[in-house]
Amino acid sequence: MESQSTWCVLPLPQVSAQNHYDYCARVDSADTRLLLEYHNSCSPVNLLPVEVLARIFSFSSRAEERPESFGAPIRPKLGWTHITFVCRRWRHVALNHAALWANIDFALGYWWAKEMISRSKSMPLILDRFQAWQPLTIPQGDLIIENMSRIEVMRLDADIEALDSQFDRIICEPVPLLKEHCIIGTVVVDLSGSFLGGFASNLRTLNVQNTANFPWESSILKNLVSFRLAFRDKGLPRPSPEEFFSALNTIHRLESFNLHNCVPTPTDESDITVKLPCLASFEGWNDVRKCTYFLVHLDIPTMASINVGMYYLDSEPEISEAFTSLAPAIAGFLRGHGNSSASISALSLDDTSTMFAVTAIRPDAPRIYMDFQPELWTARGRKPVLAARVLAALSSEHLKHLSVKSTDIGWSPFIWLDIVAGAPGVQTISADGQAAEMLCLALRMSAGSSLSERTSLGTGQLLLPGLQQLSLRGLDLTAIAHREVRDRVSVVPRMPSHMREGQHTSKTNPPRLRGT
Amino acid sequence: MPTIVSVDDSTVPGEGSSRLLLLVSSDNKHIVVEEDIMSRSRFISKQVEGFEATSQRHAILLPFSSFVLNKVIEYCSHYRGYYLLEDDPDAAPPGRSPVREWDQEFLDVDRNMLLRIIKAAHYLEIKSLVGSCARAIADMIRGKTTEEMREILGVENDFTPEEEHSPSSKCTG
Repeated sequence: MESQSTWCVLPLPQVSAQNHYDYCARVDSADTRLLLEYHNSCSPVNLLPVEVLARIFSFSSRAEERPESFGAPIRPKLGWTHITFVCRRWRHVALNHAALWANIDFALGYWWAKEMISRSKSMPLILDRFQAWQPLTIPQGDLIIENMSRIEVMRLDADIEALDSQFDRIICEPVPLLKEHCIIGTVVVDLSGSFLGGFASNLRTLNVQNTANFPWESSILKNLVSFRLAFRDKGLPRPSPEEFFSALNTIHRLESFNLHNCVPTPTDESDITVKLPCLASFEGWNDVRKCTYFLVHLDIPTMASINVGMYYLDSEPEISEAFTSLAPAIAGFLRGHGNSSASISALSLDDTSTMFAVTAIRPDAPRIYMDFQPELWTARGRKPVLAARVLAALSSEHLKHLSVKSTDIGWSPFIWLDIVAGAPGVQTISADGQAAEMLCLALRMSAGSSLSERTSLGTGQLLLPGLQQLSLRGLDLTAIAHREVRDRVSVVPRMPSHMREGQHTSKTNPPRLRGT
Repeated sequence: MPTIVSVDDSTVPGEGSSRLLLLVSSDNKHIVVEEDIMSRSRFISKQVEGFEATSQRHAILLPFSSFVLNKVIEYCSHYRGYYLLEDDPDAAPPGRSPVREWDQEFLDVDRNMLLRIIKAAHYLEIKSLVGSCARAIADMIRGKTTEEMREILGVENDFTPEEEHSPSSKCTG
């Protein structure tokens, strides 16, 4: 009874029924929250040290590894910020991990940019405006300029809608910490003003597209490691050879050099040697003839990769000229580096539907690439002929391995004659598609199954005295012509089942085909 | 700090061309491993330096199970003698290196095991393993909704309604 009376005298809150319900719900939710908080504190993931959890978050915020487009990575949006809504501990760790917020993407809007800059505290900033199709607003520009002293990486787009006075202000401001700078877009950016205030001692990577009046004499270039300059507009004025070569001679640490449409027009008077002691990779696009001129002037002991290519070519003569001028230049380049005879040991030709590439490998300087992307309908059926010219110019008596991967039409036995004419020491040949068919035919005709066939091959003969391995893919052995070849080598043991998909290998000398 | 206990010579296998360490797991399993293998662990390296100073033989007691320890030893054995960028304190910021195929297979374990391995790797100061595990966990939650993340990692929503909708509100943790 006593407990009953005690119970009765307890003061009840003087509130309405609704308020009373809310009060009880609050009490319940507070208790529940405590329980949930306790549960989370025992959760294995929350037993991880703060720095490990932060590391997980930084991986989840990082852009996925994808091919780069014009040098700028395609980044995801802010989906990763869901982590701040998972639980109190995750939010606490994420908000206090400044590095997580230092990658500012202006495409997400002003509010987010400002918020992220604030959360990143004093961390160096990565500022990204790539694929931001809205104009750069005044507050955005002000925000960037306010934080110039913290910017380590700056990627700006220069598209017609985005270009305004803010942009001009930003590219002229000094950025002391800047390591990587990228200006990409369709609009021509005039850099005649004080580009980066003329001072960027930490700048290592510069990627500029469509620029007018590039400051070749500027000291900002001298510490570059990677330099990419691209002109979309072919009509833009090129640098003079003198200023171009003089500028390059000051960039002693340059390792990667990439030029699109902007190799200087050669003049016979210029006789400058460019010394780039660290250069490992050179790419030159669309100016094949000029690139070859440039290569002649290079003194690059460490060069490992040359990639000279072209795209958007309009006419077949243009393609043909590019092909034929490039190959001797590359061969000359090889000879110019202590090799009186260019000793390429392996060649591979990869001709897919979108690209034509030649890879030449020499023992001392690992690889030289030539990539061609002529418009297919123009070059269709002509690429093998052009390829043969390139290979004939590049091949040498030291060539041991030759690989041809082709999806193109236009191969003939005569092309193979051209290709192997300068490579008598070749030991392995690998080919597929029509190239393999025609190689097979050339071998058959050289073997002289009939006088008329031998005559049709002309005076040349496919002589491969050193051939040890022949690998052909995609060859239809049921075709009458190949059946004849197969019959001629019928003494060769039956091909193993795992090789019946179309690869036929012979390790005997002279070459013979294995048949089923 | 780990507990270091002196052990009899009989406990530690005889000296060969490579020095041996005795690691004792939390479930009291004794695992003998070559010092060379565990040199990727900065924690173990520091301990070994201490041994040299006292010229005594020691066992190292570690606060995780033999199952986890064996996984860590497997990782260290696989990369024995390899240079891994993430383990180099002077190298560029970690995480830029591509995901190693072997690591992906090695870390194809259940969630709790993965969390135990990362904790052990952090304790042993093996940065490359911490990085690989962190990447694997990040892959598990990348692109997921908040609810899905909670479900995957066994976490509950402990926000108040006000906190939940205010990402920049200050949390006391």
